[in-house]
Amino acid sequence: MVGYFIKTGGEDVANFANLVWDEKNLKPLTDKYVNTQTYGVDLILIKFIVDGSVVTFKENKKSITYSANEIAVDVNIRNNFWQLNLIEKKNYLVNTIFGAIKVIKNNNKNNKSIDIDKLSISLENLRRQYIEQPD
Amino acid sequence: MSEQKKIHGNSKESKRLTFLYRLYDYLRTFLKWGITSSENPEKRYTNKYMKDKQMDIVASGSRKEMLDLERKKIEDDPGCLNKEKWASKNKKDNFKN
Repeated sequence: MVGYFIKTGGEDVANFANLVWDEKNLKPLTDKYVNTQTYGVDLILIKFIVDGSVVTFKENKKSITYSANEIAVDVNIRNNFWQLNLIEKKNYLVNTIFGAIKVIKNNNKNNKSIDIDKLSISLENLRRQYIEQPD
Repeated sequence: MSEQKKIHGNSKESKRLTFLYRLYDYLRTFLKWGITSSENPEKRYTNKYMKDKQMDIVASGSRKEMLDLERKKIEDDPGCLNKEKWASKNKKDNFKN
C-alpha cells in the first residue's frame, strides 16, 4: 500500500493538500490504481515536507526510514514548486514518487522484498490518470 | 564556578524553539492542536498512524509562548483528539449553549 503524509511549514501552503487529497488527485487515484494490489511491504509512506512561511524545513539526509514492514521516504517540496503550472505540479509530484521508489530500491538495507516492477506499472497507471484527468 | 540551572526540554522555561501545529486527516477533519520542539514531531507516531494525515505548523516561539497559545487554541477550537480538561470544559460549555 502507498500512503501519503503532508507536513507544511504554515497554513499558507494549504493548496498543496488539494493536489494530494482531493477527488481526482493523488490519494483517491492511488487507492484506485495502486492500492488494489500488494507489493511486498504493508506500507510505503511518501512524506511530503512542504516549506512555508513559519518553517523552512532542513533537508533530511536520512530521507528513508524503516519500521516493521513499513518504509517511509521524505520528499522535500521547495518554494519554487509554486512557480509551476498545474500540469507541471502534477508531473513533479508523480516524479517525486518515482524518485522515492528509486531511493527505496537503491537503499533496501533491510532486504525487504518489494516488487518494484509491479509497483512501477501501477504508478504509471496512476500518472496517466492524474495528469490526463480534466479538472 | 557559576551554578547553572538545568532545564528539562519539556519545561515551560525551556529556551528551545517550539512549534504549534494542527493535525488533520485527509478528509480535513481537524484532529488536534499540539506543540513540539522537534522539526520531526510526526516521528512520535507510527507511519501507519500518520498515513493520510496532514500536519500544519502554524506558529513558532518559546516553549512558554507556544504552551500558552496552544491552551488558548484548545479552549477556543478544540480538535476531537484534544483530551485536555480545558478542551472538555469548552466542549461542555458549547453544548450547554
